[in-house]
Amino acid sequence: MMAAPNRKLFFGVLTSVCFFVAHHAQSAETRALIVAGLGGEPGYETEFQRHANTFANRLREISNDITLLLGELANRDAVRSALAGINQRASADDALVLVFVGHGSYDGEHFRFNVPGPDFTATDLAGWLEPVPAERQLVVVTGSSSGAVHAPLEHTGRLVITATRSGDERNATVFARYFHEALDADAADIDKDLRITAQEAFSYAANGVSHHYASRQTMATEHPLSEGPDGAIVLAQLTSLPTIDPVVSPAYEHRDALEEAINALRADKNSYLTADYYAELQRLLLELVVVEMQIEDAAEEGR
Amino acid sequence: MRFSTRSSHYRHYRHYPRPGIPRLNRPCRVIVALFSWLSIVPPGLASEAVDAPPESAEQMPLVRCHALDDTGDETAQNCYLELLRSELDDAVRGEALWRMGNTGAANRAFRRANQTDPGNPELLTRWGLLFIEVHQAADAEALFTEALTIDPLYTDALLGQAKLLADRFEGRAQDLISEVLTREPEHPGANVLLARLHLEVGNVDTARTVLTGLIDNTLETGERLDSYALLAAADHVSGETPSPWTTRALELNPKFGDIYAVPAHFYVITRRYTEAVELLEQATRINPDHWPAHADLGINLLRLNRFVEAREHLEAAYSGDPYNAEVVNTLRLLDSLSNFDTISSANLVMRLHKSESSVLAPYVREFVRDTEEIMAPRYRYKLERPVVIELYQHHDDFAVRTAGLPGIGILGATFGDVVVMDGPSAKTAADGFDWVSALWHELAHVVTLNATNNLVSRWFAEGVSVFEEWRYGPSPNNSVPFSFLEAMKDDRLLPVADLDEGFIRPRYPEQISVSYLQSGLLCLFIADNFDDGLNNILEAYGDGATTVEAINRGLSLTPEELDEVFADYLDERFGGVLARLDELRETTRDAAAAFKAGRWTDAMTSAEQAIDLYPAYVGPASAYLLLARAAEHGKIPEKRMAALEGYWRAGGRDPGALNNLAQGYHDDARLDEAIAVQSVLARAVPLEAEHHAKLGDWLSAAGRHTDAVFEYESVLALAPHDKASAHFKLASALHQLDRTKEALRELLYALEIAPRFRPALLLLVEINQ
Repeated sequence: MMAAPNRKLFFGVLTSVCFFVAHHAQSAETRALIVAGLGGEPGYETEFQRHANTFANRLREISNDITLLLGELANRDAVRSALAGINQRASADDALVLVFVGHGSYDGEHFRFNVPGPDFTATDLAGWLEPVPAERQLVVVTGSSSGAVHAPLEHTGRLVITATRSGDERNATVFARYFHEALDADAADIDKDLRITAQEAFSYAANGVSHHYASRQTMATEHPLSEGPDGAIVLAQLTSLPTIDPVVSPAYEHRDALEEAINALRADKNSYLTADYYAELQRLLLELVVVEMQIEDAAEEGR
Repeated sequence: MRFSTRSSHYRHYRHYPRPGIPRLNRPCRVIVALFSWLSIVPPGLASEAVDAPPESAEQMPLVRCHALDDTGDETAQNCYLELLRSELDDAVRGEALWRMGNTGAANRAFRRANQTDPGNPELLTRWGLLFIEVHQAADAEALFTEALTIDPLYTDALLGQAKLLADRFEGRAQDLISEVLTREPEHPGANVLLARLHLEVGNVDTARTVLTGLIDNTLETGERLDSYALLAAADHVSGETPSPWTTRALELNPKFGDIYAVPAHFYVITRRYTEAVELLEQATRINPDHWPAHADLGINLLRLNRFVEAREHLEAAYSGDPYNAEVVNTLRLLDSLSNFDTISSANLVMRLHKSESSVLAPYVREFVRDTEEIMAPRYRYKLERPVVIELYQHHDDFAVRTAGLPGIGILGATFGDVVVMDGPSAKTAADGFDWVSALWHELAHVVTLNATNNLVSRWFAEGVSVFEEWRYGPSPNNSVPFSFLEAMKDDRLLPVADLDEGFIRPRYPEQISVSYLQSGLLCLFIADNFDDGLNNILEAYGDGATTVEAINRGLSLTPEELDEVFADYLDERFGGVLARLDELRETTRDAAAAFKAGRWTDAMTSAEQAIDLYPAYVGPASAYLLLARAAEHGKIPEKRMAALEGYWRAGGRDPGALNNLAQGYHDDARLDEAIAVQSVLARAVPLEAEHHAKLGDWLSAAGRHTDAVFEYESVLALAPHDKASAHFKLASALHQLDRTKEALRELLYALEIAPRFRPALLLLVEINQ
């Protein structure tokens, strides 16, 4: 077992600075469009707008390019126009996040987003997304029948998350409630890097939906579905993250290398004896701690 | 799992004696003898059948075959085959085919007969009886109703309906039988059915009087055998075995399996499963084709935890009678048990679903230990064999395990040492299901049943169990619902001597639950007013005493005197509430209406009045909960907390209320009280990881790390979404207990999932210092 790092030093720097810096995925811009569709009745109207606002507020912590469409403004033309605007601003390195909170309908052929004025279909949306250059894209559709959007929206680099697994699940959904809760929940941060990725939020929300119906002993009328590449699109961060300090960038590189080694070890777990596997894991983790301390020290000195 | 519900909700009393036909490969012909139409034994064929009335010439071949069948003659089948070659009357062919066990062909023959001769009440009734035999109660009922529409006084149809009601243990059966006996006092079938009902509620002497009067008359062989089987049952129920009636029946028909199967039924309904199994084994031994006996044997072997033999007999039953829903359902349930863990120790065998066993096993273990060390000694009893506990995730699985059919309204059942019940995932705590109280209730049955060799009466067994729940159980309270108060007010409580009937043959919808409460209150009254009264009564039952004798011996009172002093007790305790019951209802309604309208102050005022009127009430629509919610909306946190505390202290266990109360205590820095409430909540809703996690955190904060470890282990057993945190918290608690090796293991599990998990990395460093 390797020697443990200096405990006093390591414990000396704690709360205010997070030493986990999101430096790769977030170096490019995240551009987001949040739309709250027609509620049909005051309860849904309020709920949809509340969820949309929450998404927008959480995304603001990581993005400077957020378009929020609510009420009468959330119509077909506005959505198309907003995407055209993003198309103008975005580059290939950017991430696009599109969240639609609201009812949907499916006639067996087309999924329609229910918005003020004429609805738009998933096929329309696919066409509007086509020219957007961002190579990492996320589309979240939280309402009824939303599973029907997977086929028309399938695209390289695009992760599509829906509240239902098909267009035939037509009841009002609770998915949005848990998806929005995920953006502020420690428990959603599975890998404890203090950031909530789209996949983590989906996983948390799917678990919440399942528990929602199980605890009430009622038949689940929605089965969330996520299809497409992970893309590591970050939707929220649980604490403020400092920007990368070039002085300590070798330490970041060392940390990345260690994390890769840990990932490789985990992937190769079955070829190890259990005791050897955990001994090696511990060795790498203790090495990782040393590197984290170096980054932390540098951050502390920089303040 | 889905189950067939084709049969009635309660076990058919199918073994009603009818001479069996060995090797005819057909179900026991329960019904035929009760409602004889063609099956009259010719003189001389049965030694004890005397002066049988003459039959018409066209019926004679069938009568001859029946006579052979009724006496167990193996040539009966050839007789029926011969008959079928020449017989053209579909009604007669149907009878022959039925006796041969070909119920499908018999049904078709009856249908054709009905087309030829529509509106014949005799034919319709016979057809209905065939449907009873193939477990189609609804079809049978429709045919009896049709027959009675044509002839409202048609006796056999009335008795057919009575039979269906009796099979469902409905009190109206008695009314129909009385109607028949008023017109035909010596009707054999009606008297046999009447005797059965008397025996089922323990009126052994009355049953014997009915039957001995009956067998002095002219009877056909089947009816005589019916009577003998019930007389044998009366002897068994009274402990007078071997019964001479067994010998006499076997002299008439050496393969008459019902001479054992019928008494077994009475052992089953008095929970003496070991004795029932012995008799059913004899029934299947003398008549291996007695499919109902195989079915009952299989189901009752399960109640003795003898799974391998049970499956053999159930499969045998299925091979002969694939229409028996109880058998089909039970076999399906047995198949599903591969998803269960069986955890055995010296005093306990648990069968728990694999997904829940890690969480539930420690609780079950604790309750069984408390039963062994505290509850059983309270009744001067020592558990001698391992207790078997099975918890089911789905109510219908439990129902099938208990009665072979889904849809029963109970939550748990105890068969001697075997407890089967709804687990915490079968029903929600929010709906009022308290699995820990239910388990304690059943464990009390283990004590009272075993202490009396299963001789304890139903009311006393239930009474002690309810008393145990209220006074010593994990959720003590004795909140009596409005339905009981209304039964009191309407004078619908039964005298203690008849209280068993409230369980067995209820006469109004709430009577079973009212009888539970009445029995519990009786035991509470006895415990508080008679030194060792409960134990004295229990001991008397163990010695074979009747309820009248047990009360005499245990309390030196007659049952009537007990009723009198108990009524005074009830008046004293509930008289005040009772006098203002209408006011209580009105106030509760006012509170609810004000709440709905958002008038929080009015809602609080009315709710407080309702609480003043009946402070012990914590059941559905409790005024405490309404007060707490109104105070929350009215932004009066002190009042809200006071209402929640009042509810908790009165024994209320609504999980939402407990959650709010625990959090309120925690927020007020009353950590010990928060932990006390949260502990009850985590146990009441054990499959919610969130409750365990919160309790674990609070226990850690209080320095109770051993208890915290238990809670964090429960969290992990529930496969939480955030596994890394759960492993880390467990590691931290273990570290506090200096269980370093285990702590390190858990820590590495956490970091394996989340290598950058900062607090876990810090602890890793600390452990490695």
